[in-house]
Amino acid sequence: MIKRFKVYNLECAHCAAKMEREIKKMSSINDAEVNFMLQSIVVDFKDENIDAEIGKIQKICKKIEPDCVVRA
Amino acid sequence: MNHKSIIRLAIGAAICVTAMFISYSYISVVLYLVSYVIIGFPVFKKAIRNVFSGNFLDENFLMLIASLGAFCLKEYTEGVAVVLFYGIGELFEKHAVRKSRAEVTKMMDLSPDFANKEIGGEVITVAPEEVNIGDVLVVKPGERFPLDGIVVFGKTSIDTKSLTGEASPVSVSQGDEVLSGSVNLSGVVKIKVTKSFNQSTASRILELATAAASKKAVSERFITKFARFYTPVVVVCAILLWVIPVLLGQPFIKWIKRALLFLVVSCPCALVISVPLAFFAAVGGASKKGILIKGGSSIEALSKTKIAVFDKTGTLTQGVFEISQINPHGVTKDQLLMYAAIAESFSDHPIACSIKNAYGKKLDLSVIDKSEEIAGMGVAVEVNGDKIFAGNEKLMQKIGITADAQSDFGTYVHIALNDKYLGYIVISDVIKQDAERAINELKKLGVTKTVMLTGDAKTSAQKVSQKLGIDEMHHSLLPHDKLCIIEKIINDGVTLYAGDGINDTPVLMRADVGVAMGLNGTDAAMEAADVVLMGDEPSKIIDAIKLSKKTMRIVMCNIVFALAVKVIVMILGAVGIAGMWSAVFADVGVSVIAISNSIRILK
Repeated sequence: MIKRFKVYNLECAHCAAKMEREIKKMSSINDAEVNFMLQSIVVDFKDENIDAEIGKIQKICKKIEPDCVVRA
Repeated sequence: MNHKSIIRLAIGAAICVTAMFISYSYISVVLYLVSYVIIGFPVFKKAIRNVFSGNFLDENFLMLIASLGAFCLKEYTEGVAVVLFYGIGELFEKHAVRKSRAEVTKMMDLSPDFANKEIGGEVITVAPEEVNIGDVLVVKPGERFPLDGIVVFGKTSIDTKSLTGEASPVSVSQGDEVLSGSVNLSGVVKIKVTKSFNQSTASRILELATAAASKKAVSERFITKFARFYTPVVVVCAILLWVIPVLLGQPFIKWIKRALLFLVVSCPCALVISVPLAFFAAVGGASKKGILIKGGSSIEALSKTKIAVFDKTGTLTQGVFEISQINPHGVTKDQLLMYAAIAESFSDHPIACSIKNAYGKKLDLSVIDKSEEIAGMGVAVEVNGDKIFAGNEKLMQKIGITADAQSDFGTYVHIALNDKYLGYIVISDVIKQDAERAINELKKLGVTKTVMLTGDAKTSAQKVSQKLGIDEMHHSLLPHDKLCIIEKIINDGVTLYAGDGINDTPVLMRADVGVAMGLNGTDAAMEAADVVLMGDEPSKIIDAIKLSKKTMRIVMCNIVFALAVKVIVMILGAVGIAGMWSAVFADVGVSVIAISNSIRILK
């Protein structure tokens, strides 16, 4: 399932690259892309049930850039 | 938040300047420290946080080390300068990124937040998503059309600039189609909605543009990879630059100074931000002209175009067939046209339609007893025992009639009644006004070969290609032949293919750059294409190539400039010629210059 999230307060370009790298390491997804310019994250999940995974993505982003907020 | 940062930096800078003029050393040191803390506080905060999460190569941390180092060496002004300019640079970066982001989204996000729906004489405001097909919307002057629809009441002129790049207003009245995203200029109109919000033009454009942003250019990917290695390498160099001379008995302070300078230069920000920003700005700048470029990889390919292949109908020509000649034999022109119209009455072929349109009168289809389509030749109908044939020369040969020879450009429809030749009608497609200019300009942009593909017969195809000055022409093609030809051509260089998207989706995908013409193409074609031209002028391709070349030039320029300055400053710093101030320039100054350079593309 492909889902798009909006990221707020994503202010640094290579933080975005870092987030993408980290999210891609998650075992529950096929692919992920963090777009710094559009302030969005597109994730291709393996499963339909993604609630827990969204939490993980939020955590990853927060760790790299503490001010940033991820919303569906 | 921005204003706060500016005020904070200004206060800090003022204190620092004051400190420079105070000769009593203890007070001035205290002032330096105060200004350092005021300016550098956010940097320290981030640095500490990142170090705790195990990230020692964070730029904030490196800045902290460099500036603290300068302080320990009693180079107070330099210490403050490092954090001050780092702060200014960051502010500038954020501002530039935000500004261009806002500008680009504004250009691509064409749908308004509301729609005025009319129900039983009353008008209520609803979200565009809630509007159903068939609903009637009221659109006032100055508003954007929220959904695609057909005008059912009133007339007005509309501005389609953001969709097609076409500057002059288009007038519409009852029965005309309007696309979402265009702006109503003069009168109140009511439209009947024909497409749901998600299917409407404005949402489709936004969807295509955002989905495509992921196709990153090689240079974009290079920079991301490069950034990962650059910082660690520079930091290791800094450490070596300090440790080795000290081990060799050199003075400790002198070399640590030089090493600190490396840390300031270690941030790859100039590249990490300016390169993606350049591509982003290019996508935005193009959409302003009615050109939708899908991501960095398409820009890169466009800029390298060597061979340009065009579909003829609908791309170089208008695809609207008009009768250009009626040449009767023994009957009047009107009679000939009538026979032709009767013969073609059951056909939906564009040529049949233009004959029927030209005839204009309504046909009594009940008189036709039998109608038959003869593949690749034409049609035959039976009316009251008489047989009417309409078709090409082959059809005439088949029924044993010698038709007049073709002499002009266009499609010939010969008409015969039983075994009698009645004459012919020439239907031709009109060459687009800017087609010739487009072909000429391509040559100036380094395209070595132009090719035209068409399903038309040799004579008419030749006329068009000669008129436009096209190098190579393939005629009488079936849809799948086009793909075979592209497969061959693509071996000779970066190939651009422009078509209107009907029947040529596979070709659009196969070409290095697929250009879909106009918004009338199918969804599949628009998705398959790398570039979608919202208007249907082929000369837009020139604009797209020019813009992509400019973008690639700016990207290369930024990469070379940023790296060159950093490397030179590092070398000069290592031998002791460049000081901390040059390092600050190599970090922040270069970022600011590179970003400003990228933003030029938007203009």
